Amino acid sequence: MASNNIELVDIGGGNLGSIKRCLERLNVRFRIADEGSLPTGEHPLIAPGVGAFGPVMSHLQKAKLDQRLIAVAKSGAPFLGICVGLQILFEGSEEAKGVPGLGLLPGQIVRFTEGKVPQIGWNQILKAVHGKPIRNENWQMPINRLDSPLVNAGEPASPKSVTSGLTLTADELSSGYVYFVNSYYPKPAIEEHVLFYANYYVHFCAAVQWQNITAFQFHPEKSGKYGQQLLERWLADAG
Amino acid sequence: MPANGLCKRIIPCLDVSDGRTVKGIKFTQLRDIGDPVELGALYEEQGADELMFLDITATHEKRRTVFDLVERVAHRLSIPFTVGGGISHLDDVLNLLKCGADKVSVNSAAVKRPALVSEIAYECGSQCCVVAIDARRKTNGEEGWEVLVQGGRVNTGIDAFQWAKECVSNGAGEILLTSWDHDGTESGFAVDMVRCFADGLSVPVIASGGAQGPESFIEVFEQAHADAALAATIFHDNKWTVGELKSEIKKAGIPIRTC
Repeated sequence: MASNNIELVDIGGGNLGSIKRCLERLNVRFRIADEGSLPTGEHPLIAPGVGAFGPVMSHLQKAKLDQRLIAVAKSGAPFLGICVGLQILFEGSEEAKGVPGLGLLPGQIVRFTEGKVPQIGWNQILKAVHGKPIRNENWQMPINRLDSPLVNAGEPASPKSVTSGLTLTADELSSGYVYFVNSYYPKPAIEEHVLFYANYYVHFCAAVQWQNITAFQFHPEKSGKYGQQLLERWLADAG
Repeated sequence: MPANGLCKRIIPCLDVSDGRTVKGIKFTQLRDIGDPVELGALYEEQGADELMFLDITATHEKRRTVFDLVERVAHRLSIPFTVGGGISHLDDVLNLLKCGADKVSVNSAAVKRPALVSEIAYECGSQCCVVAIDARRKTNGEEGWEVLVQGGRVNTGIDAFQWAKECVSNGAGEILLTSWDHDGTESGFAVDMVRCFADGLSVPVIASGGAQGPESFIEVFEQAHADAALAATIFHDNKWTVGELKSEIKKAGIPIRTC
């Protein structure tokens, strides 16, 4: 595991510390990527974050990180979003109407409408069994957003063969309890992108995966042994 | 799966002073029974959902011991934890969060200066702002409960439920509600009071004070609708491990996380 070299992106909004400490526990090497030192796409990337969608997106734009994250995702580098790091992958959020997300995955971030909000605590996730896609055409990454010139620090790594992201076959990791703190959850437009479901007065998407992109709405680094195993599996797959 | 899969949480509370555990002396299996990190790790292993570290360090000069402790806890544990006790400034909060605490809990200082709650919520988010309320049944014959401060020594006369509502509207993310009528009695939680708060507030309520065996937890979850329950003595005295307790609660059909 020590051979990993992770680019840990500071997307603003805090909580970098808890994932940092978790990687240290797992003996994984990493560097912090931010506006002064943009992620390169040469290594697996983790984008963690606690905070609100609007301020995080505006920070990413100011720091020129938005275009870079899109380029890195497009390059095929293993990409893991956590919490708000998941939400920014989508097209937009009810939390900040009119503010576009990175648009790497089609769909919106919506607010829980029942129960105490935010959802705080442990909930059981179950691996999705894919039904029919909601849209027929395969989702293409939004090419128009990639036309914008990249700012600073040269080009990201050239596209690699696309890795499969997190592999979760019918095994012991296909269900478990994880720790959530969220008022919003993703509604992917393509059902195949749903990796895990959970229930909070509504059947909601708790994690997504598409090609090299994996993202958790919950906090694997705060989810005890099971959360740690999910991260280790992702790290092992990311290589 | 039920319509709501969110689990009820069990939260062991550790009193620490000068960075050392004050209670919990019956854990002979620990290498250092006075080390809160060791005890916290044991509780995590047993299935605790969260931990509460209550800093009861007497002197102000020694307060920084809690920062070292929080750092060590954060490196070791992979479940969320809250730090409380004597927090009165936003700076304390920022430092504790920086050291790795997931949440902080404020009590007397918030009663003295309610804006502290909104400051924490604004700067750090509601999710890390727990307001602890020590309450007991009103002594003037009126209905309801009143807020005590200074470790239960001072009665403010403030209505506890109104105070909780004010805290929530100021941005409190959770209410830790301790019954001073029940605390230390091992007679079960204060079901009436907890139900009033849990049903009447839009944020989770953590019940505290009076924890006994599994029946008391089942009662506070089923009848008082508590979102979480906190206890110290029953765990420290090794009467119940967290795991044994949780498996009894699960048998009653209550959604609870098992590892």
